[in-house]
Amino acid sequence: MRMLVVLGVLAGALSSLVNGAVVVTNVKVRVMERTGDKIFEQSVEQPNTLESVPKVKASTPLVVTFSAQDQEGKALRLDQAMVNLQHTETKAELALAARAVTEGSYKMDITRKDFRRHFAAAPGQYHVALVLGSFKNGGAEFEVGNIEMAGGNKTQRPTSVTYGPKSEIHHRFSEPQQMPNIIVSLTFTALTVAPLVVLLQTWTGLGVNINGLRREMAGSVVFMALIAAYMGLAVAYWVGLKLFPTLAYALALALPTYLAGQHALSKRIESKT
Amino acid sequence: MRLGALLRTWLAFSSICLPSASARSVTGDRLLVLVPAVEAAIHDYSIFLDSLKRRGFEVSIRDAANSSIVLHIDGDRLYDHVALLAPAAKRFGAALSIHDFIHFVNTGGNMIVAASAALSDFHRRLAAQFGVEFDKHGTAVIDHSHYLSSKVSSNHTIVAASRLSHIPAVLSPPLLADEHPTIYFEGIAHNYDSQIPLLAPLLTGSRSTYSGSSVAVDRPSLKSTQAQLSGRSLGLVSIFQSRSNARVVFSGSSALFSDALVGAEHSTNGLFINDISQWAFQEKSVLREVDHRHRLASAAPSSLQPDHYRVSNVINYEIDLSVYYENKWHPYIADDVQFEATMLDPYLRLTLNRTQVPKSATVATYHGDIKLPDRYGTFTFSVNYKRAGFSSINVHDTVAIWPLRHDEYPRFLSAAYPYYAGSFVMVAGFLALCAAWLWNTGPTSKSSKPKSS
Repeated sequence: MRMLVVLGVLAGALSSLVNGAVVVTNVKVRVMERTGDKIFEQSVEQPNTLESVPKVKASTPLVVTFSAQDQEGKALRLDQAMVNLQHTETKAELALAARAVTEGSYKMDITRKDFRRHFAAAPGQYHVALVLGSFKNGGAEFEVGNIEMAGGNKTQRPTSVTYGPKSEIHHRFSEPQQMPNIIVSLTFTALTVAPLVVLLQTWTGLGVNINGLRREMAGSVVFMALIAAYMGLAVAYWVGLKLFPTLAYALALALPTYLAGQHALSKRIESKT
Repeated sequence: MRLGALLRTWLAFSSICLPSASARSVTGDRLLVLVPAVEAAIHDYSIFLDSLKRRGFEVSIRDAANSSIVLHIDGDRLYDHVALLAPAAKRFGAALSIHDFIHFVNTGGNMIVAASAALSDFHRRLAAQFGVEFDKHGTAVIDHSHYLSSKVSSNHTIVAASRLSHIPAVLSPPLLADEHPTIYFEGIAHNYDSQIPLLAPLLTGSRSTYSGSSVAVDRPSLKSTQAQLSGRSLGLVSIFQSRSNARVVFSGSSALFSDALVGAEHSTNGLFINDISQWAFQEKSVLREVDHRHRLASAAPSSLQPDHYRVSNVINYEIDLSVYYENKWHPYIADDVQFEATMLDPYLRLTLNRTQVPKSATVATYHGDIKLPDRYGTFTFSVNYKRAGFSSINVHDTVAIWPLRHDEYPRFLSAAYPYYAGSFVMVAGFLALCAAWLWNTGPTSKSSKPKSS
């Protein structure tokens, strides 16, 4: 239901304008249902403002009525009759013209359509003031008070670019992989090493020995050392050595290993025959 | 009285001349001033024009209709700055078009465009290209509460404006510190598009300022609830900085620059036009990037910039910034210089820290130790610095972030101990087998003795 908010200010006492010769009287704020029932009504007398903050819904426009006179009490024809509404948070200002109803009497009323256009996207508390002026009599400002424009949804202005620091962005790094407990790793390591131990024990039991080492020391030890060096080279590659240096070292070890192997194996065959 | 008036004029003259005596523009000194009539302009704007000459500009004052005026020859600008002080001129030069002026700005030229209530359509269309919409013909800025009340008949149209936007890059400290500056303005209002970040209002109307007809009989009866161009939405002077860092100032009043208003009672016009002309002609608030570099944080400061980085590397990024004012470059001091690492979307945006600036330095260095994202790809390292009134800085480098090499992943994990042990066991077993084969000797005595029959 459309409700007309009629904001008229009836002033019992006449309030004088701040400066110049413009005197504002009969300032009235009224909120009414369309049926005529009054929801809110208040008069404003300078230097006071509205005693309470009337809540104006989306369907309840605002009407301000007032009278303007010169200092002699004669009705004044204003060249500037505006109702200034300033959002108390954003400081956005809007000035709406008041029309002359009769000589010296003015009214500003916001229809539902105007309310939707100006206030639906920017609800909140507004400070209302009358800003009046005349070429003959100068200017004047009259503080009315605060009103609450409610019922709309604050809308974000579409992608407005503002120059200034932007919010910081911190990259969220991947969580390191969860590792099993080290006790589990050590247990399986022991299980992995166990067969080697069993093998060596079994060989010892079977009489496998290295008694021949004393007979053929030089050649076979060198050969074994070079084979161990190849194993070491593989470990070094795993730890950090790059591929091509590894291949170079392997190539360097190849000839000595071949010659040592030839010597050791031929000695071995000779010792068997 | 006469002595008082002379003293006020001298103070206004000195406020516009003395602080700016040594300011030189970064972009050049060739200034073209277009006026309705040269002789009258030299008289009406003598304080402003003399201050420009004292600041080192080569001022060429020409009639707006002078057919020899051109802005470019063979693609090169003939002037570095243009001041249009002929608001009623319907054309400039022989055939200068709006496109010529826009091209002038696009090629780095700076402008001051002054209007008045008798604004021509040429100016309207020119201003519209920058998002500035001047009010209708026949309107003027009016304020029945704050106006110049002197022997100069104003009809409330010489308003005393005081609502300045807080833009330290444009306005000098004395003007910012003044709680109630008095800037006399006689001209036309404009609407500015607040959605355009390149455009900013500098001087707007106070609550009682509005745009209307100054002649009562011409005043149309307004419909109630019709929104009025007034207050904060009423632009008096606006600034525009293009993406090429060229600057344009739109003033709804050419009288703002006149001797009459500069020398008026309590006027701060002198200080104001000094500030806006210094800003417009790039004598201050010009930022530049001197150098920037990045390297691995673990590398020596003198090391070369690498071709690429690896994921999660920690890098050190530095950028040197300077700002120009008072005729020389100074270190630019700020706490909001931000670094961005972007690959389609920004992955990182961090505020850089400022290194201690030595007294004699002309640059301020901003640095940051930054851990790169754990994503590989082609990133852009950028510093995109845009602030109201300052030149914009946009520095970017394209950098490759590579994935880790096979041997750069976390290694020797506790979960892999069994596998390491397995490999070593195999190596040890192989060596044991070799040793056994080479050095094993058969069983002695009992088994080798033949059996006796």
